[in-house]
Amino acid sequence: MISIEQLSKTYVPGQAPSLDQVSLCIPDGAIYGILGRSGAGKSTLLRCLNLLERPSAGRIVLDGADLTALSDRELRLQRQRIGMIFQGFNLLHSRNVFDNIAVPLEIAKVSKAQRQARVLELLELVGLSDKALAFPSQLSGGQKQRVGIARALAARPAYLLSDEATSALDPETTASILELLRDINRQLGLTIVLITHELDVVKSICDHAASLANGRLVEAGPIAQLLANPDSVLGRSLLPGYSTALGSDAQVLELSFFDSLLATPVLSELTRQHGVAVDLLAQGVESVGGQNVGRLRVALRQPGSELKLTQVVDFLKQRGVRVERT
Amino acid sequence: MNRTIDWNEILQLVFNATGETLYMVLLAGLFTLLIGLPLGVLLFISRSGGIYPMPQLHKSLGGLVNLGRSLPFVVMLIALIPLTRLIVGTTLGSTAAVVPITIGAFPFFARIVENALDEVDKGRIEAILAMGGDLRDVIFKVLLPEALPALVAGVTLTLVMLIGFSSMAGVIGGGGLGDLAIRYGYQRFNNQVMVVTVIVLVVLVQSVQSLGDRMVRSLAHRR
Repeated sequence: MISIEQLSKTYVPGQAPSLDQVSLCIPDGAIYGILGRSGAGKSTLLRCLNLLERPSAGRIVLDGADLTALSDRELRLQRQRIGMIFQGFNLLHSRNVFDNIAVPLEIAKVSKAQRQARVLELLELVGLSDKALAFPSQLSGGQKQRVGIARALAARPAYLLSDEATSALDPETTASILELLRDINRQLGLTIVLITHELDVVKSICDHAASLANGRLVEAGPIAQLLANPDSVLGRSLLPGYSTALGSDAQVLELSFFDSLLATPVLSELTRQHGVAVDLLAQGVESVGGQNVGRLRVALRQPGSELKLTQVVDFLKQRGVRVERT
Repeated sequence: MNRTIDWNEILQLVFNATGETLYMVLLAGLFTLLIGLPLGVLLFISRSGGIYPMPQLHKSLGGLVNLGRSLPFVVMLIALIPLTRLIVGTTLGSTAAVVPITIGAFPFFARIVENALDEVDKGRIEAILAMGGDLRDVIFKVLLPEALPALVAGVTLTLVMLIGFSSMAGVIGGGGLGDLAIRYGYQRFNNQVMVVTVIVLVVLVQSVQSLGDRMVRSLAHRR
């Protein structure tokens, strides 16, 4: 578990801090997505997690060890437990793929025979067994990031930090890299913290999310909770987009349904029990954080009488539907 | 004074002088590398905001290097005569000339090394630190290997400069091709010796340069 406590970072004294008292708990086994615009402080936050950036105040506690209080030597040992991948890959161009993946093992003083076996295993894992002797300049962006991931996993870390790892890749390659990260998370039980400015990345693999703005934590939590909470801005931004939208002058509501909850029975019950006519204006369905989320924009009318909106909203909420008035 | 000497004699003179020049260049080159490379690394890592910031040390080393580079070589040659006598025991001959040549060249080479290391992508250094690497890992796994093509190009540049320096050593009786050109070409107006000396120097410089270029290309090729 990584526990971030009251973390602040100020680069230039007197100027606005890049991070302002951020507290966050990252549970073991999570894929934690941190969202924010550029300049929001997410990169600084991630780089504080392995102390590439030293925080001005606050603590980073990794499985009970406060990283900010460690000696240089102890910190280096802790860093071997935290893999990191980068937007720019940061592979060594003087080494081939095999020797790049071996670097963390060399640093950890693993014997040559064991290094060899481990690297071959990793090449297999990331699907690059045939590229062992290639140099980074001979690889595509997706292949380079696979090497980066293999390298980050070499010393069997418990955590993986991803610094916009897919931002330099095309959509298809991004999807395959995200899939690889999810497999690793499931197979190895690795905790992944990733920062991104792309909502789609969070939607497709994360189970937890946090958003940063101006160095402050805005929201954080399990994605299922964020989605279900009608007050959550982050949850709202993660909801599916509409494919088409029609206008209406009746009372318009936005409804979100989760997983097993199907829209049709709830809406037909609404019509049956309350005599409300439901017009579908727009809809979207997506997989978000591992669950299927349906989103509807509906116009409600009550033929022949006044619509009892509060009653309708209460009814829907009771059924587990996220309701927002527009 | 202006007697003609036969070609055999000329070739013998030039052959010996070339040997002395190569001796000075290679020996001074070795010392330049041995002093300049660590100094360049130290200059780079000690920068404020660098990998191992030591601003005070960086400033003093930088000042020393600039001092070494601000004196014209001929002046340094003469100014260093006492030091040369202290180290070698004499101020005459090729071995004695190695001292001022080395001292004239290593600050230049140290700056070249510092700049070559500066060109290495900072992200790669960070990646090694993030893995738990220490300063030694950064220097020997990232900085030097990644900068190798630039370093070899810098060595080539320095060797060519050393050939120039070694020729000036003739001024204080250091031997070599420069010495030959001064004694025969300048003091005795012997044009034959002068022409052969110029040709040998040009060939020497060209060979060093093209050998260096080829090494840089083959190093950069597979990256």
